[in-house]
Amino acid sequence: MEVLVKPISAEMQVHDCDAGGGGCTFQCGTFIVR
Amino acid sequence: MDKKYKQSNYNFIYDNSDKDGVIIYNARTGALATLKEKQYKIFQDYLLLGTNIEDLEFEKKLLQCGFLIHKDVDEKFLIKTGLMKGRYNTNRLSLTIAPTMACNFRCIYCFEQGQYKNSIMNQDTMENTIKFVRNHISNVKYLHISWFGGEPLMAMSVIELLSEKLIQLCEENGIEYSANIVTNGYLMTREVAEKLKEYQVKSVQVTIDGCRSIHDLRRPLANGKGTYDQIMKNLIEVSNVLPINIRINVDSRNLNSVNEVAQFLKSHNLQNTIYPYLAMVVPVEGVYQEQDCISDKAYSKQNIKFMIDNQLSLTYAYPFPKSNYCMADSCNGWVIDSEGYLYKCWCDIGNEEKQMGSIDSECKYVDRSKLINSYLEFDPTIDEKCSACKVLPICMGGCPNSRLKGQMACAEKKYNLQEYIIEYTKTFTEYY
Repeated sequence: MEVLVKPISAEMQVHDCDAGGGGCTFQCGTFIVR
Repeated sequence: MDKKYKQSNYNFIYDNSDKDGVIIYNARTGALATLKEKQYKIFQDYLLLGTNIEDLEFEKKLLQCGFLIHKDVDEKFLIKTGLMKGRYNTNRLSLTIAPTMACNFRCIYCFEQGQYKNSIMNQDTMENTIKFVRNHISNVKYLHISWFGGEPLMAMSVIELLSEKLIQLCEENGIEYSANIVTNGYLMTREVAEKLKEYQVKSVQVTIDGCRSIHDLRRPLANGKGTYDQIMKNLIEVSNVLPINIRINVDSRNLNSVNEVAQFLKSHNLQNTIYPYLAMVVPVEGVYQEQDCISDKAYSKQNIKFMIDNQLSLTYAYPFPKSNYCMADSCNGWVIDSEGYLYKCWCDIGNEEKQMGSIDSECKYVDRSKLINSYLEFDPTIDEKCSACKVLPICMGGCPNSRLKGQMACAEKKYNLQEYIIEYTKTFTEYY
């Protein structure tokens, strides 16, 4: 078994998502139109 | 035999027979791995027949990645715990600030049409913004600012003044500061980009809607003139100063023109410094019609095709699990417009009905608790459709604003996960 992407820790999940505007703008294509 | 472990509900297993095995991805942990056919059989025999996994190192890896979990683990409970932890996390304060609601563009689909105002944030509102932050940072370890508008670069002086004070406040209180900016790019000269970098802006989002003729029709200046040439000139000048993402808003009218943006970047050797991606244009009542928009499923298919056809890095689009969705469904996320009005979501900016209050001298809130609750209360782990969906951990119910409007906005990966994971696996050269 070769692990290509390691599991993300719970702490990182919070960190990633809480990037707020910045994080979600990029990740979520449906989020905003301007 | 009573098995100690069970398979995760969020495993996605894809054929990889060219490489004698399978690819396995878990949406709850974000782990990705390849298994040889032999290993996959051992995994399956354990799950179906209860045959022991004799290779303890292999079993350990399956457990670490979350492909295999203890039989008593309730994964939905874990997801819900993560959701609550993220949603009510007070370590982080995320603010979207519009230093002005003025805009030099008149994009055909802009949801802010009718909200433009020519003023920029005044001294009082700037001071109240700092006061608002000061009043909210007692537990905060990270402060993130998204500069937004209107067109934020039309009020660069406000960005400079607020950045200086916010960075100073963070330094005094041991808080980590970061920022990004959403701009149309027209005023993004090298000098401006260097200033933004100095003020710890870490990334820039600029929108280009296709080739020159199409872009200029969709995103003209307020006086009707084209903007494509100036934006592209600016991007070339600033590409080695700040990381830039190019957002290409797609609908049925420009779908055939999107590859030209990637080709332009390639022809200027910018494909490794500027990252383009597709985004959906959504219908806005009285502004943009539904029949011009494409479905989320069609968008998902187009986006992965765009990435593959143009050999773009897939790393940035990797489907990591989320806790909560965004700042709108987080207790410590706010949008502040140029007059100091507060909102939960930047799609609401300028809409009086959606104002939560004002950062006046006493930082009082208008009683819109019902609206705040509507953003914070949705729980996808008990929602009938979302809780049954295998991409729940990477979607978490989709855009809260769309949901409040009665539109489901599922994660893009719901429709293109398989294609993405298979393509992404191919990028691990040591594996191939």
